Amino acid sequence: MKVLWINNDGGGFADYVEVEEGTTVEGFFSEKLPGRESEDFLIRVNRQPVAKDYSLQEGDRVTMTPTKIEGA
Amino acid sequence: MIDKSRILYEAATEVRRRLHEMKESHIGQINQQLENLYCAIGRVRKFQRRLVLCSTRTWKAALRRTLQDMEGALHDVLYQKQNTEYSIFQAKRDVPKVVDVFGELKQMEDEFSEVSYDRDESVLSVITEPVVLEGVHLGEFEIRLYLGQMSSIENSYPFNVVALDPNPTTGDDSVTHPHVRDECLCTGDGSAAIKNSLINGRVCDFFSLVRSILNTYNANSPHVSLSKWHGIPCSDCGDSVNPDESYFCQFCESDLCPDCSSICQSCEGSACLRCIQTCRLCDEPVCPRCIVECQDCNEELCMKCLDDDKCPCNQIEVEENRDGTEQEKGQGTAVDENKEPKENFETSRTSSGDP
Repeated sequence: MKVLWINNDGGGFADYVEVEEGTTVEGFFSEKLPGRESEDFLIRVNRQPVAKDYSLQEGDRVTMTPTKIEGA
Repeated sequence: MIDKSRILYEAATEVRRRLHEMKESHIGQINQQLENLYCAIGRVRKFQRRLVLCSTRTWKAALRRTLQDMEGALHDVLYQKQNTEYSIFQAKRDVPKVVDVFGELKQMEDEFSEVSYDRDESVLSVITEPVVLEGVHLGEFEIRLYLGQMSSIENSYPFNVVALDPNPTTGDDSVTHPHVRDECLCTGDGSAAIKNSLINGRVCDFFSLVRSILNTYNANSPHVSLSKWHGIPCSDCGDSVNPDESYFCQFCESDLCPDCSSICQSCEGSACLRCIQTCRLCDEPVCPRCIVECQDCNEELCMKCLDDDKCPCNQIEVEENRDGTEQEKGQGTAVDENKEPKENFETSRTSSGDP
């Protein structure tokens, strides 16, 4: 199934990506941002906060925004 | 509640209108960029003809120059191609529907304590929670997005960051945050994501990104570091001093306020009152590097007094020489009392390089 993933870490690009049925938000985060801590991100699905074990659905809109970004 | 929703709907409509403007401006740029691309290709063709001529006539030096010129022209073709592709990409982009932008604004109400829209000024703004960085309380900030300036985002950011309860750094009210000066945020690592969020109408993401930067301290490149936010403590008296008005003792490496520092009258370097010394003759402050000691009498003098032969031991020698000359007079030797001291009389010096 496809979900819209908006990655505000780095370039801030949005794209539709394939995910397996039953993939949780936590699993999706680990796959897309390996080595990063989910506590360091604002994670929203369809503009709402969700539990880690929420299973993604077809067409979901997933946004990940770092809570710490270094200015200059 | 209905009024608030209506205001947010108006804001969403305005955001969408500005996004359309942005898209139109990219369409307008495509023609000019294609012209630039054609010009760049034209230069490549010119150098190609020159290349053939140089090869045929075996003009080796000219051939080398032409190859370099060709390389530059090809780089320019690539640059113009990328510019044109970017504009085409932006022009093809779909402008989000009003309902999607409205959803962004509704989400902002959940993420921020206060969301407001000034219809007259066309400004969308949010207020952050109080920002505290390494124990320094900087207060709440209002992030103001100027919708009327969104179409010029390729050249400048259309937003300001305003301190609502400013705690600026000592001596510079314009710096209200380590990364904010004159209400402008240095976006650093967030630059690309901020630009993309605005171009795509993801205004909630935009405000979240700016908030993330405000909540992060980058010690490597602030306008003013947090360790010096409240000024530098004077090593002697302990008073807080503006970093721009502080002095530094190069000998004991301590920071000083103007009252606790002194300036060497020889080299104009600064030093603390413990390290600075005083010329015994003129009483002026002299740093340890510039103080000199008379070899004969060990008096500590500044270079100027030493150069001017003002050391007391020089005066005594002059008088002794004069007495000696007068005694010779008394023994029958004619002496001209107006005669200058002997030219081979010299003053002992401790410093080198003197005439």
